[in-house]
Amino acid sequence: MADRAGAAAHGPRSAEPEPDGRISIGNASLDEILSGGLVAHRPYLIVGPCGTGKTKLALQFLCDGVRRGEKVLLVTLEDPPNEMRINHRAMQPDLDQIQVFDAIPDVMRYERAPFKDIAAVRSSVSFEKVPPEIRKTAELVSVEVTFSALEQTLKMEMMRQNYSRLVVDSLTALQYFCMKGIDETQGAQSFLRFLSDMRVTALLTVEAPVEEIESAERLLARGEIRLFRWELEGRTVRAIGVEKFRGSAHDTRLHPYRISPTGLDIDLNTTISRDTRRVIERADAAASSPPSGDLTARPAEMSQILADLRDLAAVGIDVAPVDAEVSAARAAAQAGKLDEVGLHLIRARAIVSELAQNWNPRTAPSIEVALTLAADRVARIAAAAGDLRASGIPSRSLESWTPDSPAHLEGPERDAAPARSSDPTTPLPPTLPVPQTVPSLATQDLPPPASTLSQPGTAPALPIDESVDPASAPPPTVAIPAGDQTGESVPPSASPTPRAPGVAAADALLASGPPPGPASPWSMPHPRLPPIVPPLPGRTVDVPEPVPPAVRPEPSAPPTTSPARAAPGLSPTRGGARPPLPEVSRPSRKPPRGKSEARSVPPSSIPSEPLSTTSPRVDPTSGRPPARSVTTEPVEGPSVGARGVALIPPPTPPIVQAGGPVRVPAPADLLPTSDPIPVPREVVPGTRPKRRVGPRKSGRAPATEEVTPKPRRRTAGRRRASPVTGASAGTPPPDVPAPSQAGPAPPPEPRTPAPPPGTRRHTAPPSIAAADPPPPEAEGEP
Amino acid sequence: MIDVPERVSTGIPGLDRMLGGGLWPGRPYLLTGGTGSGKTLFGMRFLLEGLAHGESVLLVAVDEPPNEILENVRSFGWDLSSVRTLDANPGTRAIRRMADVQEIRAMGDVKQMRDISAESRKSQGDDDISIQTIHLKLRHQMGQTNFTRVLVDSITSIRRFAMKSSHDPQADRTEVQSLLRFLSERGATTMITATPGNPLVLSAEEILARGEILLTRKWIGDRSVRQVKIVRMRGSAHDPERRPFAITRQGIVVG
Repeated sequence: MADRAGAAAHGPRSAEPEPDGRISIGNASLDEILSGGLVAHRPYLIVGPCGTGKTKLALQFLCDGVRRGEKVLLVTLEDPPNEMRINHRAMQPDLDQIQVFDAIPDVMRYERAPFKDIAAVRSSVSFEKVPPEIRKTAELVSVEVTFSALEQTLKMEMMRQNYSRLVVDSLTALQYFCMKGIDETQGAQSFLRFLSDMRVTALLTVEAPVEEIESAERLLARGEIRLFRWELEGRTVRAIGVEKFRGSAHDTRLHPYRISPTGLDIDLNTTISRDTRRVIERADAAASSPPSGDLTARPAEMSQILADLRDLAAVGIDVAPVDAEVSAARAAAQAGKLDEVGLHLIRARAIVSELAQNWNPRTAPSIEVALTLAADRVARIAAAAGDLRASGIPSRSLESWTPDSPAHLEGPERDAAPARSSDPTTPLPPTLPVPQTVPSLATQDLPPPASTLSQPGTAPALPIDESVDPASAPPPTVAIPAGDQTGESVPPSASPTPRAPGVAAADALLASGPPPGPASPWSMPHPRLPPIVPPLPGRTVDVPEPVPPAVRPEPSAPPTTSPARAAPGLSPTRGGARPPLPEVSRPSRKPPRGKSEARSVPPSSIPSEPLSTTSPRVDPTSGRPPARSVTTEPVEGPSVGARGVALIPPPTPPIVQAGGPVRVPAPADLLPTSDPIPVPREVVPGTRPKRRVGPRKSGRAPATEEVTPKPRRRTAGRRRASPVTGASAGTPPPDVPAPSQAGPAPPPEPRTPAPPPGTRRHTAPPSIAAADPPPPEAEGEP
Repeated sequence: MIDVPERVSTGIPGLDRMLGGGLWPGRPYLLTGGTGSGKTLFGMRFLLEGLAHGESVLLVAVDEPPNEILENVRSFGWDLSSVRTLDANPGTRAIRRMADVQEIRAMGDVKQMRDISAESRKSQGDDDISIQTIHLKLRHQMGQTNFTRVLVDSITSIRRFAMKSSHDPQADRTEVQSLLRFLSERGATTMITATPGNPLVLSAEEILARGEILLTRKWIGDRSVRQVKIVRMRGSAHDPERRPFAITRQGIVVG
């Protein structure tokens, strides 16, 4: 970015395209998660509920530009500049060098009055020059802020100053308050395209409740950083993750963070599970994770594979080969052959990568959001294949591959014959779906997985609103058609074949995965994941439910049911499903039959660039394509956020980023002879389910009251200045008054009704379950 | 260097501590909670604190008629006689009209309020209850008096009682934004009570509020524990945890 200073200051920069290098986001940890920073000249979104630090992060980005001598611009539509200057006083002196444009609409007059275009009236100032009092609406004229006027303003600003970084805070406020008469989704999309054309690296904040589905405009951004705030057992959990980042590898895990006065403090050494919202314990690379024999590292790996399997299955990939390896791994675990377990898991991973790489997203038969999201993840799995290869793990299935044979990385293709388990005592999966009446393997108090879509032949894809309603959609199971069951089925209440306790324990670990979290309405599999996987024939996919807080899985707990029934105890980070133990000698699978109306939708042409909003979409609630834009039934309640549920065809798989650093450490828990190496990306770190995070607390805040030190006041005793009162006392606004006036303002006209908002109608309040405190939050002032 | 204004006390010491010292002046804040969670009490204590500092404070009463609120707080010994109100409660009037700003007399009852309302009903324009009409009324009244604290109780009810059945969400948002902006420009620190709605749908006040205080009740067996939590607070370190509070004879105590 050093050539910015030399670039011509006049005219948009599109005349001379600059290389799209990396730009630091201003936060070292986040740069690392992004594998080096943002790709320049693109718009990115920071999405999260109100009060999660989005503005703070965006300001970190701008302050970083200031420190590098760049010109940076903030457009604020939410907090007035004078308030921001107070709120972020700890980010001085860099903050003062940020140019700020006040784009907040004026007070409405509710009467005919002349109005002016914002571009004619306001211009940016440096924060330094922002007066301490809020800007006052001019008495005689109203300033209207429409997003098209804002675009014009930005163009003018960009011509005046060669801004390299831009923040719009927030895109939501732009949609809520400046989209008069315009479809908000369209407006936002147009705005994002406009920013893309301006070739400025832009961050836009988006206010979104945690459980909200992606909306159309969010799908247009080059990348998305997601902030989460959950309440877990009375404690606040904050997590940050990079939700997507086109064209670049990135860490997909969630990390806890704190909001400090100077920015976000992200803990890269810890990750948080998306579904349980608990911290995932990492295996200490050196000491506690001995090579392949340590089964405690396996559950995480297994759960990652199963989560990937779920994604693959969701887009219609036949996952039979992986299943075979997974079952072989289980069999090996039961037989106590721990070395083989690792080997099978590695091969399973290779097959997963291969399947993902071979999958062509254009053949995806449906354009529903659920599959879109799954497709995105599959594409990421494929993109991660490079990481795998570099770490010595094949990304193509190699039957003869062993950890000690890196030379076989490009070996022959694996044939389709699955490995067979010769263990005759392998318990067969019981007939599903069955309400689970027996406690699962390691966790006694699991609620049974309700099977909402358990009948074969039902449309597998849930309407979107059901899919995110925690109250109404407990993780469903998909039935195994009875015909695919092999041989006898084990009734759930039957006790399994007695096994050696050690093997049983190993099996419990294999099945239970990372420590599950409390059962709360929100700790279901990640809401953006479809809770129902379009069933492959004969496939039953259990989506596990997390454990109530009182119960922790004990590795030594003897299994009380067959391992296949332990599915509910599994809570992989992807909230994924675990296919039950299949019969390994299953004949070739039949193609999906009667599987889904969703699959019969012909694939529309899948553009690789942002879509126009006129492309037909499927209404998630009714399955019908709506007339034009995404429309759903209106939500009851006074004020509705019209976030249409966007359905677009799956994006083209992101290219593994070229030009940026790719970290390729070998996973410590896979290679028997590796040295301790940082945990790689795209892989769930090893976990130790028998250890808990932190001491068990009573759930109360610390007894001492010094949680919030009294802030220092820079000035003493400054009371609020008495504000301007009365209709006649008009202080001249700091805006540049334009000599000309626009025509008479239209009266408060009946506005075009905004498109009916999203389908979400749930009122399930977050419950407060018991136990574990996440990393404590301590927001202190300097 | 930076001119940091003095904080506005809520009148509840424990809550001030949780907020990192108090509220920032001139900004709108949300006070959310279910029915009976104590929102109105918190709001009235906030107004009372302003009275104690000699400020002019305003109550926009929609949920309950002002005299009922007065009754409720009398047991704490709170003297709210000089709180000015904008009576926007539809129940006190046979037809939906808004009264002028009235001073609550200590012994007002419903009948008396009706009498007062009948007198002042002379020159009313569009008296439907809505964000817009409340805004216009406030603009008229605040031209004469400089209110530094305003309590809107509750914005949920304003929407519920709004006459316009066809509710245009876009218009609603702009009106809310305009009202809150108006109050900020007048320098009023505003508390807005609200019942939590659909958690997946963001309302305009949720976005615009500079902070949110949530009141909940946690039931343990057949006992309930009242809890207060600072969901968010811009520009200030705050206690992120839920703290218990009690409504005692002396008022509100936050633990």
